[in-house]
Amino acid sequence: MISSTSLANHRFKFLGLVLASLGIILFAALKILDYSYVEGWEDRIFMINHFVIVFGMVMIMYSSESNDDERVKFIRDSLLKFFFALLVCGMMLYVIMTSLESLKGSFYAILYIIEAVLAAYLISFRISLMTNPSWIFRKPKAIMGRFIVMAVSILFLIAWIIYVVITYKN
Amino acid sequence: MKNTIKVERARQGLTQSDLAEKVGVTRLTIHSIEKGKFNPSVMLALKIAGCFGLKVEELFELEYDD
Repeated sequence: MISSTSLANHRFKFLGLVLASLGIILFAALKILDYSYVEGWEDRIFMINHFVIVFGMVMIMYSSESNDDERVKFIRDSLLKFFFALLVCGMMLYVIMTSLESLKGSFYAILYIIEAVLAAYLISFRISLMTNPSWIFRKPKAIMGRFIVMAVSILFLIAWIIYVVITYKN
Repeated sequence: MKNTIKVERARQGLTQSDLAEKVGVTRLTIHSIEKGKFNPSVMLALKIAGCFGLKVEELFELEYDD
């Protein structure tokens, strides 16, 4: 469990909120104004802009609540586990889609995935703190079943790799 | 895990907020413990039982599927 001492003071949440909001406003303004820049500078400007947004959201994420009790920590841990898995899956899916050439690769897409997952985490955390959904506190059951599904999926992927190597090798 | 926090609270005329303040948690945490959604740590269970002048086992009881 993430202890309160490993988190920033709850006041940093407001600073993070200000940073993220300013970053989003700036991003929207730059998109609306649609200026043309000297070659190479557009990417730099937008990259820094995305960095400000992500940094602001991470600051909110790693700030403690004013009363960071064990229920809050439990909710935070459960949601962090879920959204970390979602972020990894999202990035993997994007990399697979781009490598299969069904989608043109873009560095911004990775940033959008990170921002979307962070925003979804922050919203879910706030809602969960207010509504106390019972599924968060429920002990997971049927772990064996999940492992079997995961093992079968990985075996399928290994079989697919072997099939593709045999079919497409020169 | 079952508990009789609500009954004890009513007996002593305490609101959820009063109890939360005494044990240093939020009102919603007391609410989720009362509803049986969230199982408190040993430390918090001891604090709550101490507030009512009871032993932990008098306030909390294991259920069949625990």
